[in-house]
Amino acid sequence: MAEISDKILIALVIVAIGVSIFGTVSTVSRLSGLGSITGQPFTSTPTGTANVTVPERTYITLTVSNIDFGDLDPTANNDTTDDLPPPFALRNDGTVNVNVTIKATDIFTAAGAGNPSSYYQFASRVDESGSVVNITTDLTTSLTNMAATSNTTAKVVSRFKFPAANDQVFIDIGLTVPADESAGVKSSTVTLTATKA
Amino acid sequence: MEERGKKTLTILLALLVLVSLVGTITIISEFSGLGDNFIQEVGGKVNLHVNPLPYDQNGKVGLTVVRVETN
Repeated sequence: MAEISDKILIALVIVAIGVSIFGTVSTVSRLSGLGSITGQPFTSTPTGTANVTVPERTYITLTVSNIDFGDLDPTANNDTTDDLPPPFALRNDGTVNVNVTIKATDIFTAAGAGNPSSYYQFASRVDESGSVVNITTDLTTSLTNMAATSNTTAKVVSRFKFPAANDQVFIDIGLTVPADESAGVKSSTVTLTATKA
Repeated sequence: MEERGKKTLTILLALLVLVSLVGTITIISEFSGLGDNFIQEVGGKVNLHVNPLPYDQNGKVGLTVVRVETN
């Protein structure tokens, strides 16, 4: 093996030191943005200052996550607007107001009954009053055709508030069974996506 | 410095550089999401049972046979 010169060793030491400094500076700068807790632990004065930053968190919960419509005949319809069966209940457990979109897998297999269609619809209304900034514009008050799973922009609630006293809305579902739908159990997965408002 | 010692030192330094790089990249990637605008998804289920046809007026499965007799 060829001899290793002192220059190579010096270069490696410099690189190692450089990487260490870069890593330290990067880590410290990242951690300092999390909301530091500062104080004066070595002073004899029994006072100090504590600062904390509450991070922005987008967190929603379906407190009612299953809707069972029971038995329905072909051409029959039912929805949750009368709470029979109960609608989805969505709560904002985060620290920011959020916008929520909705999409779902097809529930019917009959021709022309895939999403979006009038056979499968959604709407929204407040459970706890004042849960949205503007009750007129931030809700989908009339039943609207359900978005397909490829759709990521179908709004169901916007500016959905997070304070605990006013942070829950209902997501209504309406179904009409197509005339030529096959008999049997039908199921659909509904996905609600929240982003910071 | 003896050649054998230099080689050992070189290997150790190379390892140090590698470990430092991996550590730095790992820490940065771990914290890179903090403070970002998180997107969160929740899922629900909608279920129903579609009754089979034909059915009679009482909701029972099967045809209702009506017998008509004429004299």
